[in-house]
Amino acid sequence: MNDETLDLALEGVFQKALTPGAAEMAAMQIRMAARLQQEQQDWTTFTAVMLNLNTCLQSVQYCLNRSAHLLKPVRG
Amino acid sequence: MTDFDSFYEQNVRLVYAMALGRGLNACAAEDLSQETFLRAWRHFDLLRSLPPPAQRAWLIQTLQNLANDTWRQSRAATEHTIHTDPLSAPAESGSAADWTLRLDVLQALSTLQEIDRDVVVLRYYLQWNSREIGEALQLPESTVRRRLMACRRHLAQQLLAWGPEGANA
Repeated sequence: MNDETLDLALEGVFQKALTPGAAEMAAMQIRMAARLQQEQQDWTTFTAVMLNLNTCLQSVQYCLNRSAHLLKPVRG
Repeated sequence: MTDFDSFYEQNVRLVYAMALGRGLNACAAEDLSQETFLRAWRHFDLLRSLPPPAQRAWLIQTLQNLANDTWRQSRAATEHTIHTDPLSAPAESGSAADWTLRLDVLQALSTLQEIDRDVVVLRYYLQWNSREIGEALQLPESTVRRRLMACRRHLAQQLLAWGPEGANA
């Protein structure tokens, strides 16, 4: 058997062995979509937490600035 | 998301077959594929700007890195190989002959070096030529041809019983 014939035969064998069925592919795609949705939710939650944290920090900074202003000794 | 959907559809066979070719069972191969696409999703702004061959090379490299990380993290990874895990069957109910064929192919692949498994899966399953394989695996085309030549006879001895004229066909 020459190399070309061997290649063709091996192609047939590999195609048959490794090609996932339609149901297998569909199930994989659904699970992938669910995983991506979870990832997006995690990212949205993370972003929301960071935004809240940022707002809190700004509030604290504002309070500190006000306190510093109020505590500033009056000259004169 | 639509762009990513089509990216997924174009590459899922590649990624899944490369994962199977590493001797993983169907569930572990799917997990590894999913993790690879999750990384792709996180870097999709970069990936979408690359030409398809570079995208495929990125996916293969990421899959290889993840597989190596998983192996390092858990020596128990050997439990996931086809030799010990009876759950390696395809996720859907195929015929016993289909299932046996897949086992035989994975068994034959497991006798090859890691780089040769990748080359063989890309050549015989995805039917890429030596240039495309070389681009994806970052190997010279001549090296790909040489490796294929060495693998061809070896695989033929083990698998041609499944070929068109074989007893199991």
